[in-house]
Amino acid sequence: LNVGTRLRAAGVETDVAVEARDGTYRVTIGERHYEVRVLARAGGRLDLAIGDRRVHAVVAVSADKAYVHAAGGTFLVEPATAATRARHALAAHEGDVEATMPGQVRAVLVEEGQAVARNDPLVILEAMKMELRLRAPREGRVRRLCCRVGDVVERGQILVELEAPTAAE
Amino acid sequence: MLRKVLIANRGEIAVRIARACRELGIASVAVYSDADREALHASLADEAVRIGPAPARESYLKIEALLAAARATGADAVHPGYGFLSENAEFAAAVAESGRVFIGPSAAAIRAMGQKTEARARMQAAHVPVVPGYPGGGDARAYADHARALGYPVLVKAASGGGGKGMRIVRGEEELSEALESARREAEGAFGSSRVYLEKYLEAARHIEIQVLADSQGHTVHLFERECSVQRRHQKVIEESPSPFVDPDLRARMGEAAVAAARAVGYTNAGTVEFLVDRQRSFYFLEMNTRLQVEHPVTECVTGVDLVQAQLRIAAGEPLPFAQRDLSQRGHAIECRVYAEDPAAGHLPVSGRILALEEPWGPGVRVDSGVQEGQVVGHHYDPMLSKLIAWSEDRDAAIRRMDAALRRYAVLGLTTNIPFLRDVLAHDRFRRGEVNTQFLEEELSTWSPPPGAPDEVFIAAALSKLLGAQPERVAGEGAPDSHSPWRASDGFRPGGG
Repeated sequence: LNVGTRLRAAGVETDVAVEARDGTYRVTIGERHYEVRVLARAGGRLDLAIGDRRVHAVVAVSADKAYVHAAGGTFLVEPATAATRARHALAAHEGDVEATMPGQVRAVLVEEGQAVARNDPLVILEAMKMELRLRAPREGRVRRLCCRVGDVVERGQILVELEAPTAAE
Repeated sequence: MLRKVLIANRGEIAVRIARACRELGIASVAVYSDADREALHASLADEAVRIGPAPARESYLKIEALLAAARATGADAVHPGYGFLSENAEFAAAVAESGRVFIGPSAAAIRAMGQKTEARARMQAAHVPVVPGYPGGGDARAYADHARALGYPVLVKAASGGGGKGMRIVRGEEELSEALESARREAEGAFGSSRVYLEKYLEAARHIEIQVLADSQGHTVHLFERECSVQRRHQKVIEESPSPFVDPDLRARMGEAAVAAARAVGYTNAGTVEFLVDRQRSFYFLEMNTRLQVEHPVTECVTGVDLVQAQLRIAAGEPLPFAQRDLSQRGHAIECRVYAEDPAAGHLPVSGRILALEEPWGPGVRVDSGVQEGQVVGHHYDPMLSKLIAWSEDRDAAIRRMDAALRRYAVLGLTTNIPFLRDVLAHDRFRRGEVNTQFLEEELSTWSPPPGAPDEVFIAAALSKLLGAQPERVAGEGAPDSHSPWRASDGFRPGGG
């Protein structure tokens, strides 16, 4: 049984290959090789012998990602596909203003068509008793308002679409 | 003693209080909103009562709903925890009027300290030094004039506030009106009052607080200091006791001032007097928190006093079992607040399901947790998941113990500040104890995790994927143990026949 894949964690992609032979695994990460035995496994909890070192790891899989705790830290590990690369690339519409945390819209301070300067507050979001002002990332004009006062919004949801200021201004 | 305590709170503090009740043989009642149906605190108390929908205003902040739950369950006392209604004098009065014991100070003492401007005046009368300020109440012009007279930077603070809510630093006059407006709105949302006042902002000061306990027989003692200077946006992140800055003389003077502050308002039960301390070791009264503090465990670790049990005993009318001379600090304790937040993205709260959870344990390690595996962390409440507390013989040993515990703390499924906490502990200024309230902003405001992951992480991920489809087994056992009584099919039952 052989598995080869390219994984991504904390912004770095790595080739990982696993070769299974009689209860041990030969794992190759980049140029490095490890002999690994699984000493115990219960759900996502793994006790491994990597060479002669004992390592405890916890793995939880959610859709196509895995959260892994090992070696003193917790990491989000994803297959390095075109889709995940695209997700990590900068948002294409960099003028759009998205909710940076999940919460409720407390106030909308602009109207559609209104011209805004860089750093103007656009929307006030409240979450976990904190108030957050979402500001214009650049000068422009409000093309579309995508939220109303009272809306419960998710992180990453676009709240205001901005367009470049028109030449007449 | 009390018979049954309704815990008017959620999360780790509700769990903490339920445990203290159990240890004293007191029944406990948890309350929960629709968002907390599956929360840990609701499953740990003896009873649990739904009090309303997810928004706190309709549940944890709703006095009638809490009193109805107390009536329905026959609770004879109410513990408010911290946050929510814990410093709400109307709540304390309503509990008392319903014939129940409010586990905290009197409504009058809460009111006296809760109105921050009144508290400042009372402290001055009791010869407790206060930070220079303007009590507010005038028009925009008056705020601007006083801010100029105090000298920027100034702090805008909620007159009824606490915990950093409704607080803004203003560095120049051009920022003042926006800060006043947003502080008023946040204060209105958090405390139901939009009154704000001004205080001179003491930069590079330390935030050091004194724990006090007072019984209804008139005995008031202090339980020394907690150093809480490691803050981000006025939210404490790491606390410790003793403070690496406080010497015996300063400790004695601050302790006496804290006792005087408590006495000045006829304080009973547990409370905390917060001070700002400058480089010259001058200290200024900031406010008194008329409740249990989040960071109370570090005091418990070094004094050996269980503060929640002490609260329950004081509320039941018992006298303090010790005098000031009986109290001392032993060893060193540190607390880290573990938040569901992204420390690389402005510490914004995150929500999600906790897919797997492994908490550290061992000698001198304590986890006060409000969550369990499988629980959803939503956006309705404070994103603190737990507090990790490490005690050891001295500060260096406590830091090492804390770091080892943080390394083993696995919270999977949402981003936490654990790697950030480890970097704070490792920071040279923290190691030397040279922190003030600006420390995090100066040193770690642009924190991001190191890129990449150790090979162990990829090994575990790849093997987990490979093994995912296979049945679980333990190496060396080939096949499941066919001799196990749990697998036998012949009707064997352990302990029976």
